[in-house]
Amino acid sequence: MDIKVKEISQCRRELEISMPPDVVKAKTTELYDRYQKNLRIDGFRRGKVPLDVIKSKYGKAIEQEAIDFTISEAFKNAIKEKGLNPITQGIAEDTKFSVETGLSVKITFEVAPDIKIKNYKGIEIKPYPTEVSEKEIESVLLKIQDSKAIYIPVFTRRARIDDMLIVDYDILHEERGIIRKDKAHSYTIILGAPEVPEEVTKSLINSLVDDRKKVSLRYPTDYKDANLRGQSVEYEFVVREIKEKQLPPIDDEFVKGVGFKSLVDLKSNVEQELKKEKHKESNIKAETQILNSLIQDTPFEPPSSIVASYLQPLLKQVEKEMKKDGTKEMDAETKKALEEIAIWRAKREILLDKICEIEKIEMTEPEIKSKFMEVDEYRQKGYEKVVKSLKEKGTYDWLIGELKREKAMDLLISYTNKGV
Amino acid sequence: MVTEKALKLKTDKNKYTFRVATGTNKIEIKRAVEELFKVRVLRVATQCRSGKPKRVGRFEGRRAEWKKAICTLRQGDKIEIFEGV
Repeated sequence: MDIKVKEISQCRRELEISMPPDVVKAKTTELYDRYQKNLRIDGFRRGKVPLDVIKSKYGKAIEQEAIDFTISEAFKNAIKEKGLNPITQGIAEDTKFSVETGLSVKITFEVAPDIKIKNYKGIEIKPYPTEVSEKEIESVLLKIQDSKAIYIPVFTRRARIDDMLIVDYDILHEERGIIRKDKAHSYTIILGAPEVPEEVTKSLINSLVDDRKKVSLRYPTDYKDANLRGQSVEYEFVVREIKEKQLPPIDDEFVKGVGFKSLVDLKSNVEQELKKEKHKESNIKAETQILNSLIQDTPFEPPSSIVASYLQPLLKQVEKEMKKDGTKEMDAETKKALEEIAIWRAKREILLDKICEIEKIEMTEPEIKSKFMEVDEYRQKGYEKVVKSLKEKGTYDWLIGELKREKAMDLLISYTNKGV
Repeated sequence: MVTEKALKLKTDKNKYTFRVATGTNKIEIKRAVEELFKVRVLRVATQCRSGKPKRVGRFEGRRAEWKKAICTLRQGDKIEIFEGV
């Protein structure tokens, strides 16, 4: 077997393999023998079909099978011999076989780029504050208070910001060049709320019950409702009710209403939750800083197959969201941004895999088990069943790889100026 | 016909097996084979085979009757399309 390796790019290789005809011939004979033993053809008992009959019926398919098998075996041997580590399946091109000259084939595949990480210990990162201030706790309490607000009808005073207005309205809007008229009854508007257009708030402020107000507005082209995006609309509102927002006092009753014994309890819970959130955020920021620093110091091109494996789900997700919003085509800017994210993630995978290799990071069985059991769904199914189903789906190895990368990331954080 | 037995007859005794129309007689078979394959037929043996009884749910029926003809060829004659099947 003659093997030539060609480096097409940093992570793409081409193997040119040529073999004498005997190799394919031997494999073809082996396959014929196997088929002769097991093949069932009408008119013959199993194992009694003459070779001529098999050759005339299935000869071409069997020969192709022998070629495919020989190529796959040769590919395996070649990568072993040349010490290559493909991360994608090989694509066979330009396959030529003849009884005189033998078999020749070109196989292209991708390999993980050979990178050398200069320095991954002691990367300097900016600390992210994880302390929780009294002000932040107060702000969460105010949000809880706001979510428990009640609206009381008022009859004599004029509407103001934060009031809830119950309105009927007629709407004139253009749809495919035709002016259409629609109506709505008992529609709720909170004055000053971010989702209410400014023009509507301005027009309805200071109104009284039974007042009529006309508003003309043009929705921006990036408005979230696709039906109204970029449209000129005329509203005619009739104010039916004005309700005043009343916040409940933060007292014992309020605290009990949200499931706590005392205000101190509620505050300490809010503080803990905020701390958890900040720690999480701090870890993410640290990870991003470390990886950005590693990416900057280790220039390499990630294999397109890994980039594609990250890009496809991102594209699908964005397309799904676009469908919901009614947007038809993805703009080039979004596509480019998604590609950049995919490239960054691919680089992260390769760099962390390299760290795992250098630091000899492995996942032990108890570690895998404890990680799996953190997931509710897995805990309910049971460890053995989960492992079996993941292996069947073919995602087990990827998941273990991801756990190893997480471990490598923790190690990198511990090596930083912050961690040491 | 290509069956284990038909191939054995062909190899050992230069006899070729055909599935023929039920209404044909030995003379017609001989003439047809000689004309179609340009060979000399020495002898024709025929067998009328009754169709097997078959049942589909509650409906009972039977496969069609068929006729088999075994033609003995002159030594040295052979039918090409049977070669390598």
